[in-house]
Amino acid sequence: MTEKEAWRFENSAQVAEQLAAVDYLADEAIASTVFLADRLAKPVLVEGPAGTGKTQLAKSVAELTGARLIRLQCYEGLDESKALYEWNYRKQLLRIQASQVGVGEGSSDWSALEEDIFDEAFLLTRPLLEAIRATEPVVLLIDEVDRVELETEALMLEVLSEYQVSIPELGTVKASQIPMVFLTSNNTRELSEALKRRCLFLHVGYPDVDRERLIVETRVPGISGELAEQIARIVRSLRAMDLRKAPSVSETIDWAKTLVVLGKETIDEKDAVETLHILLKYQSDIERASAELTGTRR
Amino acid sequence: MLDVLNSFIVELRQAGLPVSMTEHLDAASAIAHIDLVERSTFKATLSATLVKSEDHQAAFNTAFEVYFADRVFNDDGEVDENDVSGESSESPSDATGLKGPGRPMGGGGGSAMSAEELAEMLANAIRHDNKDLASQVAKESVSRFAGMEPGRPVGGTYYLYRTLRNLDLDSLLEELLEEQRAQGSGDAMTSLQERLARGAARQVSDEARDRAIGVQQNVLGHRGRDTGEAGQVVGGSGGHAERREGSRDLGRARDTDDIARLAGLVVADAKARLELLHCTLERNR
Repeated sequence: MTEKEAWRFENSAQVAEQLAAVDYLADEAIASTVFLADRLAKPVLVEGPAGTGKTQLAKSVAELTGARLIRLQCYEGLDESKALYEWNYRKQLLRIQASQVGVGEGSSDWSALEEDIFDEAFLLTRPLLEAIRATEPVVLLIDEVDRVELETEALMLEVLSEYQVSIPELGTVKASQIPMVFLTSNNTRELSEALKRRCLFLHVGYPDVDRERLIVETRVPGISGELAEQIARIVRSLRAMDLRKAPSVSETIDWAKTLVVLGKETIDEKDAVETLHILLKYQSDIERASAELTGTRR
Repeated sequence: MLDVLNSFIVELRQAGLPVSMTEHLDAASAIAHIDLVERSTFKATLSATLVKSEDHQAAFNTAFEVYFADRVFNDDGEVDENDVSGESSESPSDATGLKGPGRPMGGGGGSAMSAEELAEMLANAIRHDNKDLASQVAKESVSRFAGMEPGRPVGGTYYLYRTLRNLDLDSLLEELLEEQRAQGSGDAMTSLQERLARGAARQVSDEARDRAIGVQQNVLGHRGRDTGEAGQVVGGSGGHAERREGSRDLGRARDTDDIARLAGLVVADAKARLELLHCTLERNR
């Protein structure tokens, strides 16, 4: 951790620059947090509404550092055997049978066999262990960590703070290099203090109009500046409304792409209302938004 | 720098943010890696290491803006609008915690003086180095918060705080700065005068702190009695523990949280005045 050349970034401005080079527009908070994650060797907990680029951040960081992205998609019921490691039970059984057939009864030394079947060859690595064992640079993405139960969350603590995994039969596997770790959360439940303490915290909210326009321009090639500007403004006004589900950044990008495919240079209210279903996912929202767009906007 | 960080964290804790030892250490090692000249980087760094919940973000932003008030930097045309702080008051998910300048209710607990008058008095106190008056003003300002009833909406009082803060920081210090320029033209301030001025400001800040803690205890004490619990407050730093105790009832904890935050911010405000005054003096030398 103390070797200077091991650091990935010079300063937060460089992080922002490199992220921009892979089409991810980071604000100061994002750039600084990624920078610190590297310097302090700490995981980043990224929180915020859905579709604001939390997962994309991890992907982009992997891309710019030339690292392999290892992803652990969390869900309710995710357990040790799916997150950390699992013994290849069938293979172990086969091994036992093979030894019985080959050596014959009684002569096989049980302890030797036991040592044999709890060998790395019989270990199925799952994302967390895989990230720890990797010898090449990796970025570990633990997606939607708020979906797992508290017990599974606790399971991750060792990985997140010590960068190691303890396997009773094998001993402790330590990371040869510190991977960058991103955890995302949609905040459906409060995460444990222990987890939060081990992470840097980053809240990614909806971008402001200017940043959203830039995001649209970078992610949607061939879009006119005027259209991007209009899109950003409309989306902003929609988010200010009391909708069931506010449009996310990814939905904004989808909408922009649609309008470009339709060959629009600018957007009028008719176009907007007709394509609104891409931006909004509830009928009641669409109706309200249409009324708003045709009523008060030009 | 570590001292500054230390006292900033104390402020955060008094404002109700649960900053743990680990987070303190993280922040300390983090600032070793960054360029301290960049204020926005500095802010993002502290935020990433010290704030672990979006609910606390607004309080952190306010505390940061007040504690590291940057009227000095503002001359270089630094605009903070694109910062996270700029968005927080508008982002739809910000409905929890501080509500910003909500309805201007809660007229200040029957105090006769307007916020402007208070600001003017404070300016006079610092100008004439009148410690008694300064502390009087501090008492007066903070006693408005003492009129706060448990269970009364905090939005209104927070609005009041904002009024006070804006008046004090913007007009009062500009005024003082102006005066220094006018009469001083260079080396008007001797080190003695400076010390006195700082002393006065510190007095204000200490008074405000004591009072704020008093308010905190008062409110919490009331609560304890109301619910039949032993609402004993241990001491100045007891805010955190109190919050813990209160967290049995979520709604109640939220209230207490807000009040503690409010009280802490008054202290931070007074402190910021001191810092700003100091800057004024520095610049005039």
